[in-house]
Amino acid sequence: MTMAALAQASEPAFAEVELSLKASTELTAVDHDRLLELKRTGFMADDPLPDRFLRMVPTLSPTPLTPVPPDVVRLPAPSGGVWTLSAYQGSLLVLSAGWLLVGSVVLIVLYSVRHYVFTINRLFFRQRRPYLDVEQTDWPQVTVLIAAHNEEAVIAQSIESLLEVDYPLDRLQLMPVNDRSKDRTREIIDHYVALHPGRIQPFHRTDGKPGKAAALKDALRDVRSDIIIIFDADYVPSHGLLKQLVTPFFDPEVGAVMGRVVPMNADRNFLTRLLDLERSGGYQVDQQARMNLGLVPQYGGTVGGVRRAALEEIGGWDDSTLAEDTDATFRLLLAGWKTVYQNRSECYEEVPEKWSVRIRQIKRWSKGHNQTLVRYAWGMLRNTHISWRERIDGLFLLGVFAMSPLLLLAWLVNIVLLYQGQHPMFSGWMAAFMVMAFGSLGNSAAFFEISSAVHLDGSRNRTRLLPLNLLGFLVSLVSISWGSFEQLRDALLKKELHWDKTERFRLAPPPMGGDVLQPASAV
Amino acid sequence: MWSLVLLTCTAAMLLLPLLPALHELLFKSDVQPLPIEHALRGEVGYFAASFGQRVRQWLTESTPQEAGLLRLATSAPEKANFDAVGPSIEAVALLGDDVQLPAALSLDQELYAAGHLQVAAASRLRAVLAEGRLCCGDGVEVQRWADAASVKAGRHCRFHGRVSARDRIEFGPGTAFERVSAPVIVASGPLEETLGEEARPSVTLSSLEQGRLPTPDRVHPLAQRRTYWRDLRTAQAVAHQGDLVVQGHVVLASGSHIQGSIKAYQDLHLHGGSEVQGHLVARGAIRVGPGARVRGNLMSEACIHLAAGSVVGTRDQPVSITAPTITMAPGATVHGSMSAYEGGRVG
Repeated sequence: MTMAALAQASEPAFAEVELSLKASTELTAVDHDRLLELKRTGFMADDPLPDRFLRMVPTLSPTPLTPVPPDVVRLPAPSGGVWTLSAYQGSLLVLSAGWLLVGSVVLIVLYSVRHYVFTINRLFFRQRRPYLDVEQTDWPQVTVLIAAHNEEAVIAQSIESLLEVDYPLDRLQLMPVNDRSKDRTREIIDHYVALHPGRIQPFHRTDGKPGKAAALKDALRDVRSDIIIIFDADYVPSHGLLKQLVTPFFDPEVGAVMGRVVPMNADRNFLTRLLDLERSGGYQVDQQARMNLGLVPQYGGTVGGVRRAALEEIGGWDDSTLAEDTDATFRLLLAGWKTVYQNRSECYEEVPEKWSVRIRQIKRWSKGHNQTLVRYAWGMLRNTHISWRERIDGLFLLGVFAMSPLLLLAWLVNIVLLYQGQHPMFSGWMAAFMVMAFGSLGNSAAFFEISSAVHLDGSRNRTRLLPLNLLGFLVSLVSISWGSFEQLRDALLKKELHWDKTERFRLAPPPMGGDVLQPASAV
Repeated sequence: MWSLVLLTCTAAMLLLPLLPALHELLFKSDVQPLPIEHALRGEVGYFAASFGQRVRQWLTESTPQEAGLLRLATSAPEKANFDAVGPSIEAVALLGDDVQLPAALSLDQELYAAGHLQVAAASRLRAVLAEGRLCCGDGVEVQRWADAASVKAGRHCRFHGRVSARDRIEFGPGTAFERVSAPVIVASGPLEETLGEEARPSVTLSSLEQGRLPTPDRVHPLAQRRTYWRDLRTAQAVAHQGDLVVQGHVVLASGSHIQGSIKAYQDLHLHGGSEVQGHLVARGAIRVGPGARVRGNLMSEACIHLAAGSVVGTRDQPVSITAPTITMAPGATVHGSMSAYEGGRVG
């Protein structure tokens, strides 16, 4: 193998050493070791080393220390044997692995930078809240959809709360969407319909495609209002929430609005405490920073609303996706509608109390996100009528769940390369970035984000739980990666995606005619 | 032994950051859900209404002084005597029909007036609620809130916090405010000498005579919305039905008529005599020219200037104006509420 071929075959390692040698007047210990390693593994030419090398490395022997066939590379095979590749194939594989490593680390660093920017913006810069304090106005017609599938434990409280909201009664229509429930959900809804005639128009769905998106899509046919506000059945809206969510729609460019979700059952167990922190970071910092910076706040499917005309313009809800909220956000963006975030528009929700439920939930989110990534990323990047910052941030937002399998894969590649002696052995910034990326299971800025969010919330002691988030991130990392694998497998096998409903944990509903059950920790 | 020491130190180092976490997990010192406001404290008149309820309850009690309320029973035109107001007094109730406060009064207690109330110039009040008219002389400062059937403020008054009235609020020149709410809010004072070319035209153009907007860059037919990816400046009056979203400045010539809402990424300038039936939203400044009318809300992320003779909202349909700063020129009228987060001013 000539020097030129050698350089081509093991370009990263060789080029790096060469560059290092060119840049320095004396050989470092690392370069020296690298040259020895190259020789040992057979990637050194039979030709003598160039003079400049020899001058700088007088200790190097021009002959290989260990004779190894120069045209064969051996790697451990997954089956446990040995995988024999030609030198070219082997070097190509190592090269690809190296680039995967570099690429994943770079992406993680970019995400980290993004989140550091968000947190600093949230802490020190001007906050955009352009749609507040509208007290008196001609309030538009609103329909509130309450998505419910087997929600007997929670639907009553949600309806009770919505009946008490501050909004002109003649402009408000409540529409519980009972999607093929098998429990007492229908009975409970009909009970409230009878108690409050004219205020509730139920939508009972007995067949059709399963899933929230499909249910909302069918219910949309019965909606006549200008604005549609959507809640999941486990949400407990406050008195002034509806007006706060409707106000942004006075801006003719707004297509969707998202409020803030606050866990009401954070005190239940370890998982709920971690999720409480996660929600805090995600809304108090992440969403609000995206609003401040004119990026892409995301409509989250609940505690939010859409303009009916905008929704109809983009073709309504897409029932082929698992994340109809993310899907709607990006279709609206592409169609020239904005999504805005209202940090003060808070609503209680119930977070999963079991790890199995949490895993199913996050797998669904990741699959839905990845679907949206595949469908709209390229179109969004090419759309010149969306600002560059929105396009870039939109891409980051779409790719957030794809980072987990990438990180996991890079981690594994990292270990294999290391034990095979093929590791590029980065130094300097790249080494630091690798430690940061792999040591914190990805985005280290998440910790800063969460702690800042908790600080902004006025809480103090829950910040102490921050180190334990590592466990939550690990579970999420594996769950999302597994979900991505399942998604890829299902796509290859042409299987339809399945909607996994999130289990509820509140107590059984009260008997009809009794008081509404109050969660112990709700205000 | 040393290996054991090393092991112990390493374990301690690893566990140390987890100790506070474990403590919090076990003892749950900060586990309650974030409180979400259910009451309508956002309403301008909320605190005044709460105070009013409390005072009326106090007045019916037999020993209001023990409750921290000082009753000053006066009758017009006698002035109230505040010598008895001490630190133990939380609120002062004036029970006369028409009470005049002493000159340059400085009162740290909340004040209730059962009838009309006149506040002398250069006085400072913490908060005041009057069942009748509230007249403030020049330079009066109210620190928290003020509420009355109607409020009239002289020159250079300062209303920190909230001002609300059940009928009308009239601000003198130089008056500063933050949040205001009333069916009619008027900035009084001498009108500008010349309204110039921006004034309402003497002849109202018919829809046929009015021009049309330039061709938009994008149309949303279902939402009746047009989008312009550039500035929108019209040299002559235009008429349009539908919403406008402009990714730049908006300048509408005098006499324009828009039946819809307008959103501008930069400044939005409505020349005099124009009318917008919908809402005005801008990331930059909003200027409503002399004699212009806006029927909907005004929301700006920079500032709002209401020129003389401009009218926002109607008595039948009050609206809201929100911006970091709001300036009302004498002669401007607002029906509804105004929220100026960094301060509003007449002048």
